[in-house]
Amino acid sequence: MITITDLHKRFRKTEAVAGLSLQVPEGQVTAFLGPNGAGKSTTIKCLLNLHRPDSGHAEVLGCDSRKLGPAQFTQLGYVSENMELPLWMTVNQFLDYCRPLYPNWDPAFEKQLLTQFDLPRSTKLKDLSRGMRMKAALLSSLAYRPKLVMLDEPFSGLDPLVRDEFIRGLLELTEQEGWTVFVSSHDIEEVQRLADRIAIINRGKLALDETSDSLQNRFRHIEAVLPDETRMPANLPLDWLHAEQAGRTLRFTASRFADEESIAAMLRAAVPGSQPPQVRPMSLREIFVALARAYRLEGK
Amino acid sequence: MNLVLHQFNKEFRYLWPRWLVFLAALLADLAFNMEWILPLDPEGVTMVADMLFATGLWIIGWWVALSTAPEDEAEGGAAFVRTRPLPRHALVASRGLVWLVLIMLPMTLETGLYLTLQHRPWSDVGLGMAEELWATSSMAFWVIPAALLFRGWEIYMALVVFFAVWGASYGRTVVDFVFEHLSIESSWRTLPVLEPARFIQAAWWIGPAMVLLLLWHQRHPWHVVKRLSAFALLLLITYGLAVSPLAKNPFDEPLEQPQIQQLAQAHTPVMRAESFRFTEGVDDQLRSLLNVSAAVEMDGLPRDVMPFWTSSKTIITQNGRALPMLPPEKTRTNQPHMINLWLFEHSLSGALNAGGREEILAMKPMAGRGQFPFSRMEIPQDLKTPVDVDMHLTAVWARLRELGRAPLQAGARILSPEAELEVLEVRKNVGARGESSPGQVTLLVRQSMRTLSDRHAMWPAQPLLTLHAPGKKLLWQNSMQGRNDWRAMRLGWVQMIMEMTFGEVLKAGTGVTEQNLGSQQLVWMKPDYLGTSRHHVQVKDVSLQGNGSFSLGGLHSITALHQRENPRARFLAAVRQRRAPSADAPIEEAARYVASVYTASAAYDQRRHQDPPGQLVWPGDDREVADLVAPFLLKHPELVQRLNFVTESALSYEIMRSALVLAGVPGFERRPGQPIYQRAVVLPDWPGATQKFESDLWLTDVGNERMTDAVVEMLKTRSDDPMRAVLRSREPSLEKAWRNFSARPAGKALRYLCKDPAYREKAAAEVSRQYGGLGLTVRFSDRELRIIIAQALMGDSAALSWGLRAIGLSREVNTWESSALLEAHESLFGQKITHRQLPQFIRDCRAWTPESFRYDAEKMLWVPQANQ
Repeated sequence: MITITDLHKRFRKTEAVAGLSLQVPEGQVTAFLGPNGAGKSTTIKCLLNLHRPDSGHAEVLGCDSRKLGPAQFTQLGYVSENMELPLWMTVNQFLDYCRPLYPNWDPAFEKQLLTQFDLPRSTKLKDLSRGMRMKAALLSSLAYRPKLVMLDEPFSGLDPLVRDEFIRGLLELTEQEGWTVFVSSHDIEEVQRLADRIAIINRGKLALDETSDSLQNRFRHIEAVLPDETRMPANLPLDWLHAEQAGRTLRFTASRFADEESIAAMLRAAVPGSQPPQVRPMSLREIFVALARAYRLEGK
Repeated sequence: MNLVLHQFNKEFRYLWPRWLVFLAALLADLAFNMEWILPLDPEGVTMVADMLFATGLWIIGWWVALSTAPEDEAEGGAAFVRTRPLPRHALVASRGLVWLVLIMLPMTLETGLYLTLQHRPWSDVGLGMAEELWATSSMAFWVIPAALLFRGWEIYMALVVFFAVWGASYGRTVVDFVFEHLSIESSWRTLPVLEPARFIQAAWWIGPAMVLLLLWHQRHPWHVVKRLSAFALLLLITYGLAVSPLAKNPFDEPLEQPQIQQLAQAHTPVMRAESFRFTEGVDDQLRSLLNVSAAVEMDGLPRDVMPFWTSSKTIITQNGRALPMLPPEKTRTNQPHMINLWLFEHSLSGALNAGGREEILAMKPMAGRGQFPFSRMEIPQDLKTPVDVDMHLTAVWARLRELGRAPLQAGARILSPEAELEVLEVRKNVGARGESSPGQVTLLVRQSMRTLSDRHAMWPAQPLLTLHAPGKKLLWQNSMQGRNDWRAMRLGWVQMIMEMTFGEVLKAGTGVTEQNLGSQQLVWMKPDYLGTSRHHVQVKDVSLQGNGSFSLGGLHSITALHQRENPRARFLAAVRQRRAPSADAPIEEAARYVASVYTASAAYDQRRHQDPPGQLVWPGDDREVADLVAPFLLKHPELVQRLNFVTESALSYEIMRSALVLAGVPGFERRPGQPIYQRAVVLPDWPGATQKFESDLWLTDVGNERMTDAVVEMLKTRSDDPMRAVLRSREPSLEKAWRNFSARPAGKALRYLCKDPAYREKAAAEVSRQYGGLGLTVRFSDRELRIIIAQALMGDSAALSWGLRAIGLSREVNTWESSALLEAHESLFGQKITHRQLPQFIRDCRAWTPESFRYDAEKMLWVPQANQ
């Protein structure tokens, strides 16, 4: 659905996207994560032909992103936290305006979504809450059953309850319609329930791209007790992230966890006399934070 | 198309509140132009309101057309439409529909409605609407890209830029500055509201650049400052093009260019050396310069066409070296719209005269006799050596067409297809400011004029209203315009109300009284621009100082000091206060001292003021000052050459006389009155016989140069031989008299010349030629009056009639005018009169006709019939 190859985009002195390559497979929800300023929004704008890449190549729905036009937008739904909506229109007027733009607009589906999102038809968009407004935007981007849905930080600023509602609705529809969804966020917690795949971008480059299951399988939190008077060696394996010692306890994140025996053996090799470690699975959020910290340290 | 209409529908739903503001402004504009509100009133300042309405409508129209719904104008890809399947062309086309439907059509309908309500013919209604459509569509290239180029508050900034460049005068200032440096002539009508056609033309030319700017911005987004700067630059370029010679108006096109070309080829323009005047003036920065003016003669032209002359290139050389010229006045161009200005300086009566010369004469306040200001030059160092002039002339040809006549009464109307006039009020003895002013007549008139481009009543030249007294066959032109007000400048039928004041109407000699004022006529004339021709003229040996030229006068110091105390005493005191150099000071130091005396003299010029003419207000002379300067001339006789004979000849002769007396040159003594030089010399060849010499130093026929040479020689040798040599050389010569006569056609000289048959023929031809070139007016300079008198002395009773009418209407307000009248009397009748007798002479001339006299061909005099 989306293929990005060595994409570069620079704004004056800042290189927002620096050689990003990524594949977004069809029928899956791909979370596009990264800290603020990592280049997520720029990448999406390049994909939507809102920015022109400096170099590299991006294909969306089989079309060069530079040539993306009305024909592709009829099959593409896009909702962004920054998107301006015609706030002076009522929900009905808004949908009346959008409807003729899409040949494949499904009025029945529109009606279903209206009920599902519980949107008041005759209220002006400016009088709706931010969450409701995002739902209206989502409705206007889904009612024509797009092949690809791109969401750029759709949950920012939404309170947890609304966010949960929004995500639940999206989740249901995605499962039901089998859409390809590319959703960007700076917080994995927002998308962990949705995402089949996780792609993380850092400083404009792809730092990680794998399924959620694979990610959760290879990350573990490790705690081990060291012998008396033993200091943590300086040359621990590189895939042990954020290793730190508090008294006799050594804590770190294993980013290539296979099984408990292997990690115990590696620990003994690294710190002779250490006791068998306590191994705990990590949530996606913990993994993301650990990675984000690691990227930050890399940057320094 | 559906999507275009769909998007337009959405835009309209967003814009309609703003559109209602525009409609309200449009309705207010119609009501204002129809005078349903704020009717025309000369005391109001609603003409400013007309300009504001016209400008305001454009601004509100732009504001509506540039307004975009916030969701469509967001930056950085946040615009809603950017990620929706709305083709770009549909978006642009919907913006075009906004301009077409919401702005262009209502403005066009307003024009149509206004012209219909003004009862204009249907052809004019159609043309007016078409022109409005053309004007508003010229803006499409600007408005549509601008709507996509500027967002939110930027729109207001763009409007400010638009107003600053077009509405305020900043654009004009910048364009003028650039044009001046590039030496490009610009139209003086640089107000879009006055003359939109040029601006519309330029808007069409530059509009596509706005599209390019938009395309560039979409590819390489520009910061708002850059976009606004580019927008301002394009506006300025448009403004510049509009006022440049590249932009042409249909109504500036000549009506008879081929005929004018033929006429110009058949007649050769002649510029005579003696017609040149070099007068001192100042430029914008108050730097002194010489204005070069001259008359161009073209004999045998039809009476109804008038050429107006300008010089596109003037080269003045002195001893083969080109003198530095200055750029011409900005307000003087060779464009046809100058016709009104030129007509202001020329008599219009030719257009009303069917036949004879002594028909209608203009009471023209300015006497020009075809003098045209051609060029400006730096003041040369050498003012004595004659110059050669090479001019590339442009003649703009015009013809006056009578639009109609009406009696000089309130309610009188003149109707023509292109203009209408109604007299609302006739105020007798009232001046332009409403003040009581004997003799003046002020009219309040209403004028309506067609301002459609195929035949424009206002451009390039507006109709002229003149007042005609059929009884005395006089014509008053150049009314002074008072308060005025106008409407509908942009709607094809402009309406004006204005006060016009004609001076010296109810005046003795004109035959017009308060009682018969209503039987006088108003004549409304429209100047038509016929064509332009170009010519090349070379004139040799032109004097920089003669022919009424004034230079080196210290003009500013003259007006700088207005002393209530005796200026003669103040002048002497001022010279005494100056530190004089020592007796043996070198010549340069002495020359500086002499120059400083002249500066003071110019400052106290009022000491020479006469009131009444012939009688000094401050009696006395400059002898004491001359005595202070004289010793330096004794020490350095060459200083005589540096005296200022141009504007200070009286003082200069006084100084020379003091020096000659001080030097003890025989014959020169300090004695009251004239002559200065008195000597009886024994004739060596004739024992016992003496030759008596008596003379003034001021010998106009000898010339300053020879006289000063003689004085230098006398101061060096202490002998009066050079003086006697000068006097002996003064025997009258016909050739010398002839030379003088061409420059100064005085009656006395004419009589002398006519004694010789050959010179009589030459003089008659010269007088006739100069007489033929006179403007048909009763306001003359002394030289022009001399020409009329000279023609009368050849026995021409029509010229006598003209001279009598001119003298009967003269005002005798200044010294030169009274001198001219005294000379005229002596020339015509062979008798001298005094200043005291002048008023009676003027009164007599009002009653006299040529029949009151008989011509004495032998004496070349006019003799009163009663004296037969």
